[in-house]
Amino acid sequence: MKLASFLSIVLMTGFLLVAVMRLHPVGQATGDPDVFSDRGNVIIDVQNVATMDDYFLRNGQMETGSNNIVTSVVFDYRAFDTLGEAAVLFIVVTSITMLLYGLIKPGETPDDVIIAADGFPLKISRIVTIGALLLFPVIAAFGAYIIIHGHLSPGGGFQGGAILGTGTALLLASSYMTKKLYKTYKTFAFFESFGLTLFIGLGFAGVGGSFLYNFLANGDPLLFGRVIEMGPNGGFLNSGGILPLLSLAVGIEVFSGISIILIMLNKALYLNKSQKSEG
Amino acid sequence: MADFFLYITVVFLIFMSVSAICYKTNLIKIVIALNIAASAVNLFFITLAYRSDSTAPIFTLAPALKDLKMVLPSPQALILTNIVIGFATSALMLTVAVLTYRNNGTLDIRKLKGVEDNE
Repeated sequence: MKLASFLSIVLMTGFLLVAVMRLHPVGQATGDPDVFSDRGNVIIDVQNVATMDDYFLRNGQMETGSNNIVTSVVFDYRAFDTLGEAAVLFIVVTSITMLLYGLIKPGETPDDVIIAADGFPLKISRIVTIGALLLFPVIAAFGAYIIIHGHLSPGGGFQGGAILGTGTALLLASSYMTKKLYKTYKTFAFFESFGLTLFIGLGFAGVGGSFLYNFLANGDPLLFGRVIEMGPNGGFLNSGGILPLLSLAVGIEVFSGISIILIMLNKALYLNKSQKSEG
Repeated sequence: MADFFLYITVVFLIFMSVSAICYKTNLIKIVIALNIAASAVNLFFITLAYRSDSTAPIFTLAPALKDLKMVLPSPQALILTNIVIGFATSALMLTVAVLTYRNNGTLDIRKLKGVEDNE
């Protein structure tokens, strides 16, 4: 039986090897590598591009006003897919809460996070606690930067939200704020719903064109509508249309969702430790 | 052969991951194996999208337009989706592992016999 399963795994690997050997070599992706060479200025064109990605590269900056083409694909061309992705995260957070909520009594405090008289936790070294408290503002600022500059530099709502979520993980690990974090759970739940609702509301706001239509791009410079020239530039924060707003909505949702997951799993960890003797 | 080295790495990672899923008995290790498979798929996409001597698809402070080459953007957008979905599913699987350990006292899949209804 074990031999048969091993043989089938080896067979599958062999098929995969044969398949990847028929792909193009690494470094020679499909499409025209010199997609910008034939012109200096902007034209929206479909005829002169070979693949979808060449179309994104040539016209993405012009159509969405975003310097970062990956963000313009995620939040403009494939924004409906991103809505599904945010909904998946929301559903996962809901189901994790549902699975673990019945096990945890609301007012219960785990033994491990007892706070001493001077305000510091008993069982964790003060170096760890103070280090975490010093690091947390830096992490929060960096995550906010990544979210806000999602249309200009590498980043966006998902990445920045995940960075902010690591800040929550740090606070949980230092166990200084753990009791307070257990109480702010409902705030996180509110902001998670708020982020997803903001995303869907922005989608409906552009419904004159289509759902999630980028109605702010190339319009009023006060409303993220600055028209940018095709080609390299220094980056303007007020460009991109609804991309920064969608990025902000997703950032709020991901940060709150990851925080809820971490708080719930942290509670379940302590629960297992203290209730093992019963069962 | 050197042109296909990254593809072979992807196949090797998937081989290791499937082997671990088949032969490991600890639930946590199975979750880790699924994460390795997700990382292998991410590496595969990034390898497909790679163009040699090119920059990331970002125009901020990029080289001048006439000698500008960029990697393909849409596989990176797909990877962004995959990372978040992978995170969410692994969090859900770990939650189920926590519940399994609580109800059965073990994470060994050979010893799991379901949960007795004691209410």
